[in-house]
Amino acid sequence: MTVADDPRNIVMLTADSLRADHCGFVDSASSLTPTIDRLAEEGVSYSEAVAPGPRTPSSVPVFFTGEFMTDDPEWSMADWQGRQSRIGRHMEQFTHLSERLQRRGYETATFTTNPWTTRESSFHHGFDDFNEVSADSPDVDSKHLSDSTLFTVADGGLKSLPGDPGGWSSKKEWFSQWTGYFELIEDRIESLSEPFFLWVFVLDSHQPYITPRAYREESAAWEMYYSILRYWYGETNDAELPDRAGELIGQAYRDAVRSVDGFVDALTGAVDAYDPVTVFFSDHGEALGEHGNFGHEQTLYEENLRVPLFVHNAGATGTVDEQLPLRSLPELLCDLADVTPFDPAAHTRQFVVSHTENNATQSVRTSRWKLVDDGETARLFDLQGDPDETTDVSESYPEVAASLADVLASHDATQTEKARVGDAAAEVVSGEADL
Amino acid sequence: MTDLTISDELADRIDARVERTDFESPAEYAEFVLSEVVTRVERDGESDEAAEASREGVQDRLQSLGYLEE
Repeated sequence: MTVADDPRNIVMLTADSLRADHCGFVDSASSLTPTIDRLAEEGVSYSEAVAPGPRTPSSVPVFFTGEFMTDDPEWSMADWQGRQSRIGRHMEQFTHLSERLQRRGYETATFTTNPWTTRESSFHHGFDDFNEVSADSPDVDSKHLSDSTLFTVADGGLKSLPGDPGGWSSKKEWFSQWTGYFELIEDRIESLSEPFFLWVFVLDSHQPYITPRAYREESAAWEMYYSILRYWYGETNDAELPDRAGELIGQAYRDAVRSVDGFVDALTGAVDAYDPVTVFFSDHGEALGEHGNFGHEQTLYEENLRVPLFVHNAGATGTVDEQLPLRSLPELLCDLADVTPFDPAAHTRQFVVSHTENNATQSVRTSRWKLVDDGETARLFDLQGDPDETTDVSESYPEVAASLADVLASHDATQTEKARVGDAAAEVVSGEADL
Repeated sequence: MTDLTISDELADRIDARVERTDFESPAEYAEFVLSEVVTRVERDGESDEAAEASREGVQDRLQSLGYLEE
């Protein structure tokens, strides 16, 4: 193990909705991610990294701050602005991992594509350079959202027409592809002073999986677009997908994963001269028909919570089989920034808690068991004997269920106490402001 | 790490609060409370970019990515 003399540059790459089992270093049956697998092999790979929630709004605010979002009365799931404001209040309340690195002397920059991670939800704190990549970004022209011919032609052509034929303006996000804005990232890298922290959050593996031609190995273009439309129809009409559509969605998703691997290859190539530590992971998984779901519904099954994660070039190698909660990322990144040996297992946990966005359903996971509590019933799954989580075994293993219920109760008590502290702190600060 | 000293009385009160929670020590609780207050104080003096009105386009973006079905 070697220790660097100076703080290391850190690159954090996040792929939205990338399943762990589609990465070969987690599941050797997959051959979609040769670059990711090579980097994981050269560095430290985590075989059981676990997201704090099944969707971006329930995951990224948590791994950015190390804290779960508490409930407050000012939002509901039916109110998107309320959901956004709730995330914003959380991000205002706690210190971000980017701020912690900034305070350690890092120049910090990000390119982020997911609409939950914008200035409106206060993700800009701690970034010297904040770049939202979107159709209506204040930072980046929408032409960089994608370099696909279809997107460019459609965007240019439809912009020149009156009105918005076909609701084009509301669908541009479907085309978010890293190849469209990669040159901007390359330019930014060249101007960063060291040590730097660069976070890139790509949307390519997020539904509806529109993938650059260069990475499409399984889906013909018509199949990719058909699967998108069929998927979207199912989403908006609650209709069950025919098997063939499900297969096509799986193909399109695998091609999207290939594109993410291409992104990791290109990005790590672009930063290679700066010898950074690279941390790669996804914010949550993705269902491809399991438990009757596609995408990332409000469920806490393995396909949604398990994520790939590796740390490359940190002076350590090997595979960590203990659970690593994404919630530990702020501490892990600060470890990497400090000029001390990196201990890959320092932030693993025996118990990992996850929440849905509305906190209505919570789970606690060990390497073998998972208890899922929706407030009315608590189901226990044996992840080794029943990895597909089909059978509730709480009656067969009542002591295990009771022990895990105690862990959740302790977690709930902690969240309640933290909410009290938060309310009190808000009053103290607002009282000061009035003086 | 830097050591801070608090009275035994306050330590006892914190001890009582951390019982049955995930806080592993009074020090961890004190770190949480201080960090929370200091973060809020720091934010209080910053320009409030987050208070910008939500852009209309964000709703379209969330809708297109399947987040608004609830």
